[in-house]
This record gives sequence, C-alpha cells and structure tokens, in this order.
Amino acid sequence: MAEILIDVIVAFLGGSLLLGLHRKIMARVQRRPGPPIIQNLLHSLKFFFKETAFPKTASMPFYVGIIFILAVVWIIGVIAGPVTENSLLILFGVYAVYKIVEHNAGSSSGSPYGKMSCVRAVLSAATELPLFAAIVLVYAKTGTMNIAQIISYQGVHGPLVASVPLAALMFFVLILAKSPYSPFAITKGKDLVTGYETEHFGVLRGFLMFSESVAWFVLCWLFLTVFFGPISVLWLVVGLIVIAVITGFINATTPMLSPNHSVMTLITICCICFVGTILMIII
Amino acid sequence: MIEYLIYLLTFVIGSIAGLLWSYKIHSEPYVIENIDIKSLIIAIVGWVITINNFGSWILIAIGLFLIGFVFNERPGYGRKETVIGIVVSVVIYLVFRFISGVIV
Repeated sequence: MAEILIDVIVAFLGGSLLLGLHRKIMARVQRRPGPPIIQNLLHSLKFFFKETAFPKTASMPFYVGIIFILAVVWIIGVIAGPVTENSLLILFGVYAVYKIVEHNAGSSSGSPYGKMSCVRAVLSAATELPLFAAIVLVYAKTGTMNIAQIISYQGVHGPLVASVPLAALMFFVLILAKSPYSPFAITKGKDLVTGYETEHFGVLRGFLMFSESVAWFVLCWLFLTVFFGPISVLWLVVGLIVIAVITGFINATTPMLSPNHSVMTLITICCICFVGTILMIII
Repeated sequence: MIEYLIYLLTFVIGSIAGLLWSYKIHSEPYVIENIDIKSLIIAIVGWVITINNFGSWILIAIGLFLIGFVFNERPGYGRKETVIGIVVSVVIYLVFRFISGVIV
C-alpha cells in the first residue's frame, strides 16, 4: 500500500514537472521566457485551495463522480504499470476508460464547450487505434502482454525499438496526441476554451490536473519501458526529458488540426506503421 | 522508491524557494543582466554534488534542492548560471573519471 502511495505521488510530481518542462520548451521555441517548470504543479496545487463552484446546468452527482473516476483510473494505471509491471491489456483498458471519462466529463457540466468537447472525445478515440496496434505488434514480437516479461525479453534480445521501430513510432504518436497543445488535442482546442474542463472549478479542476500529470508520467514510462528495455532510473529520467523536449518542439511548431484531419492523420499513421511492422516481422 | 520521492520533493521545494527568492530580489521589470554571483555559486555547488554522485542520497537531495533553486528562478533569470553549473560539473566529472582511470 505504501509503495502504491509513493508511486502515485512520484507519478504526480514527475508528471507535473514534465508537463511544466513541456510548456517551457514550447515557450522557448516561440521565443518567450515561459513559466518556471514547476508552474504546472503550482497550478494543480492551487486549485485544491480554490472555491469549488457547481454550475446550475450540471447533472449531479455524475458531474462530481466522473472526476474522481478519472483520478482512480490513472491510479490503477500506476498500479498496473510502474508498481506491478502487469499486463499491457490493463493499461489499454485504462486508456479506453479514460476516453469514456473525458467524454462524460464534457457532457456532465451542461456547458456548450464541454458538450462540443464531449463529441470530439468520441472522435479522438481514434488515438486508441495506435495504442491497440502497438500492443498487438509487441505481442506478435515477444509472445507476451506482461510488461515484466517484455522487459526480460528485451534484456535478452535487445530493445524493441530496434526490431519494431514503427510500432514504437505509433506509440509515440499516441503520446503526442495526449500532450498539451498537440496537433491532435481536438478535445481541448482553443475554440472550446479548455474543452471538457471548462466548467470544472476548484478541487474538481485540481483532480483533473492531478490525473493529467499521472497520465502523462504513466504513458511516457510505458513507452520507455516497453520499447527501450531494462533501463536504469537515470536513463528513464533522460528519456522522459527527451520526450518532453520532442513533443514540446512539435507542438510549438504545428497548428492544431481540425477533428476530421486529426482522426484521418492518426488512422493513416497507424495503418502505415502496422503494415510496415508486419512486413518487417515476416521478412 | 522512497529516495526518488525525496529527490522530487527537494527539487520542488528548492524550486519554490528559488522562485520566491528571485521575485523578492528582482522586483523590477525584466532586464537582461550580468551573471548573478550568488546564483552561480549555488548552481555550481548543486550540479557538482549531483552529477559527481558521491554515493550519498542526502547529498544528491541537497544538490537537487540547489539545482531547483536556480533553475526555477523568475523566468529569464538563472539560465546562464544553470548552464555554467552544468558545464563546470561535467568537466569536474570527466576529470575525476580520467584521474581514476589513470590510477587504475
């Protein structure tokens, strides 16, 4: 229990700092000083001490409950990932439920921005396709879904990024889609204010930001663990920073795609990478 | 895992302390200034004791506190000091590695 608690706090702090670094990188690319990298963490903590208001249009208790479900979903992600190194399928399930929660968080507030974001959340479920395809390809290569066994496999045969690079690329596209200000972040497009988060205040927003930080840490940890094999903590930290730098650079230099373009781009990348990886495995 | 939590917490506490301290020192509108000697010393000490791992988690935690202190100063400040701190600590690390390699 203590280990789970420690891991969740580490994921929250680490994820917050990485998202702060991501924002800083974006600012520097755009030739702005940018906020300190602890800004995201300070924002998250700040919301826990702010007044929590509830819109009259919100469908209670669904509006409140869905936020706590989101936090629980990603805590399960930490338990299935860094703590127990369990099955990839559990993490796929976590991501699928996260998309449902994103959808419901948007619809529960009654805000038109939230509702539009809710509709786009259905479309953005296309990001699950690269994740599922990447998991299938990892299974085809290693013969297991268990993260601990995948790490052991890589200890013997070398990192999977060398043998199935296109599967790694697919997973990276998923991380890119999840990153803030991403070209694929259609649920939080600037035309929707903050999307499904628009009408969530105080503690509820604090929990949303907590969940986002944990989600970012878990996804990046999963990518580095599944495709780069048994790596030390130092290299894990370096990898996490490199991911933040690359995604920050991409997001700072690319516009946000329209929903249909975003979905088609994700599906096209997924198809090309999937077929390419299958060919690489067969040949 | 607890040591990594301590590292993160010390870095965050150092960052908040550095942010508050630098806003207290620099209340003026942002201007590009020369290197701040105090921040430079803190950055060098922090990076040297973190990168040149002396085997003590307490020293690493203190180093991360000092790194966070300078790295997260008010936006625009502490950048040059951090870069100099990294360069100096890497040079010291390489010199130590070279000397230990020669002795062995």
